Amino acid sequence: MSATNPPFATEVSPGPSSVHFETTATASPWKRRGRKLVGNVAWHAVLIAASAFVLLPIVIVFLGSFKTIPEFFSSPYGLPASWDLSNYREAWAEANLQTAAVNSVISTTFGVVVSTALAALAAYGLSRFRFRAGMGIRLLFIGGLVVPVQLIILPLFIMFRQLGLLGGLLPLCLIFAVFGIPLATLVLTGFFAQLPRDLEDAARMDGASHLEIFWRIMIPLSRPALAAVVILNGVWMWNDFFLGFILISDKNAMTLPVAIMAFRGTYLTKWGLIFASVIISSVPVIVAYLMLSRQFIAGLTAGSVKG
Amino acid sequence: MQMDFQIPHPARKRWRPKPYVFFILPALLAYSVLFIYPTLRAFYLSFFDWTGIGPMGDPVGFANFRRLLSSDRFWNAAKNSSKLFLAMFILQNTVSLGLALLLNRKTRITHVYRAIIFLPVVISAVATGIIWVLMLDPQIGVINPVLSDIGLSTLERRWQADPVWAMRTVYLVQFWQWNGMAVVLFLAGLQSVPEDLKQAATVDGAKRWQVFRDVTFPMLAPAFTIITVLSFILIFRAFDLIYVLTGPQGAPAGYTHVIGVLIYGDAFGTSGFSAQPRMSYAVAEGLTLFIFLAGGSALLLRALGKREEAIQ
Repeated sequence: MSATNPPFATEVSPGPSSVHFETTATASPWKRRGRKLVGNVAWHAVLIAASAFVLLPIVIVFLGSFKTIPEFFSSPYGLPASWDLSNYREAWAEANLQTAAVNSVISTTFGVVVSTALAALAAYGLSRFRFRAGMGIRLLFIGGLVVPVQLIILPLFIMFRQLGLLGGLLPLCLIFAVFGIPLATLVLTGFFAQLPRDLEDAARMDGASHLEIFWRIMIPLSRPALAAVVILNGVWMWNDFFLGFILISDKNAMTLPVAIMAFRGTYLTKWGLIFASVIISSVPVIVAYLMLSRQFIAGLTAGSVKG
Repeated sequence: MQMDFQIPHPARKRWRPKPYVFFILPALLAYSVLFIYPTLRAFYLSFFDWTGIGPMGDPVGFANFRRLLSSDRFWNAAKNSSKLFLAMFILQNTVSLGLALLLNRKTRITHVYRAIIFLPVVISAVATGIIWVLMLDPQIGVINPVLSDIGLSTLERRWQADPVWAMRTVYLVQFWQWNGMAVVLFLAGLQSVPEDLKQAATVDGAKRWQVFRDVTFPMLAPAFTIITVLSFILIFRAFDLIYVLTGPQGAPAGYTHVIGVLIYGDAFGTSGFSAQPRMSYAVAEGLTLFIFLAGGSALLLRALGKREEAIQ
């Protein structure tokens, strides 16, 4: 076992073993082993505490989503009296979550697909051709990352009001499609620039057009970067509250976070339903995350590391 | 091809766009209409006195900017945003860094811990806010009953109504949500430290602490830069989580009012300062924030970039 290997507390048994013949003269095998055991226990203790800090609030909301109102007072952190799904059924119908879920799926999908496509095309143009304006255009796209949404949404709000489009889902879809561009361009230009040009040169010899090279070579080679972009933008669009809150007034156009907040504002004390809605809106991301946690972590950090 | 037989004459030569134009144009068009134009229009709007409703008001020059720079509400919100940034900065460089050091091992259980710690990053701010309201609420909350059940009922309080504790709960929840991001970014930095370098230092008789100080710590400089700049941008324009936790006026009495929430309230007239929305004033606040974010992150990137060079 090398020093960097995982020291499982359970793997350490009392009594000497062959591993410990290599111990130095400064510490006896027993002392060293004891110190290692204490270290392992402390290691797990700290990380279990950190995990509990993350998980307990989620577990308590999950339990709360099954509770009736009196139960919040009688057993605030205990198990619910029954596990029936009436809160979920009611939330799904009464809090309008079924419509909201559809709206969230539509706006997120539209935003992710369109912004990724636009940014991928632009990233190809910016990373494969040298021209004077190239650097400036790239900066223009990436600079969008420091524009606060609070600022840009105000003129957009006025624009969409003048066009008579305010209230529905369309402005949100369009804004997602454009607001996804800065991050996607940042990640994809960085990635494209690193790809070797040999394949493209070969393809160009064979008479392939730029569009063919883009579609047949660049896109398939860029799967990891594209996955990162889809995850990054998909998570924030699915979770966005602010933009939807400002742009959407029509009840049937609300996305999940907006519908949950609207419901919470109207029925302040229907706690069980509010917590059921929170669970419903979080399940898709959490399931996706559990299945692809490595890609999520890589994806959500890709944008920042590339910068 | 037909073209081959013609001698291209400079005057007759038709302008043909380069191929990259077709790749860049779609994104550039969409971005110009829905991003660049609104940003420019914001500059224009900030020079008027306009509520946002009805006909455009009178041009007032820099009056909106002068007013906001002498407004107590603006400075209060700026102070709270700065406190939040500072609190996150301290927590990230102690707790998150510590967790990252602990998690820098390649075992299955480490991946489990890492996945759990990162989980809140993917949960929406609305869900996070409501989750923590359930923990902290004086009526249905969980923290107060737990405290009283373990005999610490003197610590019970109305967390979110208390002028001192309200902002601390915001720190807590903000850190709950974003800790995982800082941990993972620090971990990426730690994994770039070559293992043999550390071993060499150990062989040379360096103590653990010395190895950290002289080998590991310098390699963490890029991660530190990213985390600091990222949280600078995220925190000064934060809205969702704080709005869900403490509402449009930064309850209690503005103690948790931050810039992002202030701008929203002024634009749409829900800030309680006056029932009137003051769109152009809010736009001026947004522009001030924009200039601060752009300038601040540029300065941070430059200063921290120099630091990276200096210590590596």
